[in-house]
Amino acid sequence: MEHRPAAGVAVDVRGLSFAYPTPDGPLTVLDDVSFSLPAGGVAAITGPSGSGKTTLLSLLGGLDRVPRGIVQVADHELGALSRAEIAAYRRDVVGFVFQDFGLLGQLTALENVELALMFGGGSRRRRRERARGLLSSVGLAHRLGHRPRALSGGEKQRVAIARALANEPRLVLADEPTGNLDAVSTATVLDVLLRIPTERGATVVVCTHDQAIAARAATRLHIDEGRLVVA
Amino acid sequence: MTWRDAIALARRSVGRRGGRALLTVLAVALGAALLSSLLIASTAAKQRVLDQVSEGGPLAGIKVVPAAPNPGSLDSDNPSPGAPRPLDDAARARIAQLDNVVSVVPVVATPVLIVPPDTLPSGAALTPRDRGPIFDSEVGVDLARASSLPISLLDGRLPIADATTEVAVTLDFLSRIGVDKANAGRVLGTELMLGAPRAFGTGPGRHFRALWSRVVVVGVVAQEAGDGLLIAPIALAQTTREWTLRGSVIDDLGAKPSPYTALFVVAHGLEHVPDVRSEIASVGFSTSAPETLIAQVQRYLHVVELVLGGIGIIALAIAALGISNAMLAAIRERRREIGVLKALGAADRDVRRVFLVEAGALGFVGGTIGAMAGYGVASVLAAVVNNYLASQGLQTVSLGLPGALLVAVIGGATLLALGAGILPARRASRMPARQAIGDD
Repeated sequence: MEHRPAAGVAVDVRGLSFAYPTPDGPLTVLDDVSFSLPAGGVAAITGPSGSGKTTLLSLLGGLDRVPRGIVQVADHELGALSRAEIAAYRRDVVGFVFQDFGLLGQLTALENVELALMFGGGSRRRRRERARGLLSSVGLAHRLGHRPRALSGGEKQRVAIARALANEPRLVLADEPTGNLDAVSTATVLDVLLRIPTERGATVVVCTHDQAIAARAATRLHIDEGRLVVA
Repeated sequence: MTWRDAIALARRSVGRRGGRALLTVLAVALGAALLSSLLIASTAAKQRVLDQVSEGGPLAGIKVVPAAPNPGSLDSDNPSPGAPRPLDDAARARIAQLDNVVSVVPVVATPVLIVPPDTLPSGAALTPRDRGPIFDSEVGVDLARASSLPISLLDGRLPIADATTEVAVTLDFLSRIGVDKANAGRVLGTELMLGAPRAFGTGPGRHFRALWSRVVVVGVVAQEAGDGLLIAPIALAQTTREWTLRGSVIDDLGAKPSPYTALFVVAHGLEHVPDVRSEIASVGFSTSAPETLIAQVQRYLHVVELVLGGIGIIALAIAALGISNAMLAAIRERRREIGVLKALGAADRDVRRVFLVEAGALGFVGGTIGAMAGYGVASVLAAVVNNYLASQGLQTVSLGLPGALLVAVIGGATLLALGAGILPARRASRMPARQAIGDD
């Protein structure tokens, strides 16, 4: 029977299971996980290392195929998408923020943001203008021409957030976004991240160990040994 | 992602790993240099050998002599001619109208007395083999069409087509006046006295007189246009010949009654030479052409070209393996970068495009450097060879700028690099996004 999420729901996960193949047999990482996230909010996924948080984020972001269960994000049922469609989904619907920033060292801050716009077409000039605007919105208008090695950790993460927002995603997935940052940078980055739902209408899902960060989220999910403990 | 974006991204990525890129480019450049230098050298050598075989004339050259064809040796390169038959303007016009005939150049040979000076312009004394005037022939040709004749310039220049006081001398002439062919250039500027002989009277009272003129040696040639020690403008030779023919006994002097001593015909390619020869025979004249020899030499030279080209291609293929290896190593190093591109929405074709552009760029840059270096190496080799050939009084080798060959080498290196990049690019594009990004 076809499953349809309720109106206003950005993410709807039903019966999601995932296992890695190992020489000793399948290693279950997620086991029958189900939850929904409302559109335009902030959700935190917490849990110990190896609990399956990043795997869940990868599945939501289309970085992994959904082997069992249903994952529906903004009207896209990820399990039914082709390889090309899943690439288009990652480009148009999702924005990623990684713990280690994921910036390309050979490109400037401006070019790193522009990179996300290269796969969707559009003129070079328009891409550049949009990238410049996004970097200005995260307080980095003065760092456009700097390469990642010349930026602080907090600045790198703000470039990564600007890049994640480049294609106006409906879902922003942040994996330990403050894991490599000091307290001051953490506060700045969190401030930028938590403003996204109100300023841009996107849903933000943050994977974190930090309970202080989780406490600021409207929805909190806790995963332990692949099972959703608190929803 | 557009090609332009892929090129921009690939340029940055290559620039970031400059050391590896440089080594890869050098490997391609070495292969391309080897290939281009071998091909350039073999092409020049082939041309030189064919020039030698065709005596400097066009490969499809045919010599028509004033004689009827000998039916027993029509297929021979150099048949024995039949009965004498005058070659006149009517015959020339008929031959010019035959199918696949590009040009017909008349040759006039006439007997002359040549009196060399006692010393060369440099002041060096001559020790001539012959005492007194040399009795031989002067060959007159239309020098405006010298490229259609078996004439190779060894030193100096050819006489101007309508000059009346300029001649070029042959290596045989140098030998007759005691000049070594390595010193051929020393005779340039030498003044010669030429005498057109005429016999008066018959029997015991027969005597000879000569019409003397002064000419300057402007060049040294190797030639097979006609039997003679001098090459002169045709008008000069015809004037000399007319004076001689007005004498009483002409056979003793070797002046043939035929208006032209020979016609040199150029066919529309070596493959048409047998047909043209056959048609000229049907017009009624005997011909000779080194077509069989040239065809055989061409076959052997083609084998040499294939072998040398094969060696160069093997070198280039090894360089391509280097590209493939470098690209695979780059993919291992840049796994995370590939993952980020995929997370940002890069489709498989986008990732493939970036890596293919990188491989192609390495091949193009390496191929360009290699082709230029190969040309440089071939030029140095040609200079050394030419130095030797000049010292032996032989015609030198000309490389020219083999643009098509260089472009082919650059294109080949680029294509080979693209081929070498296909597997790594495909591997990069098919890498699962999650695996590329890294594990939990």
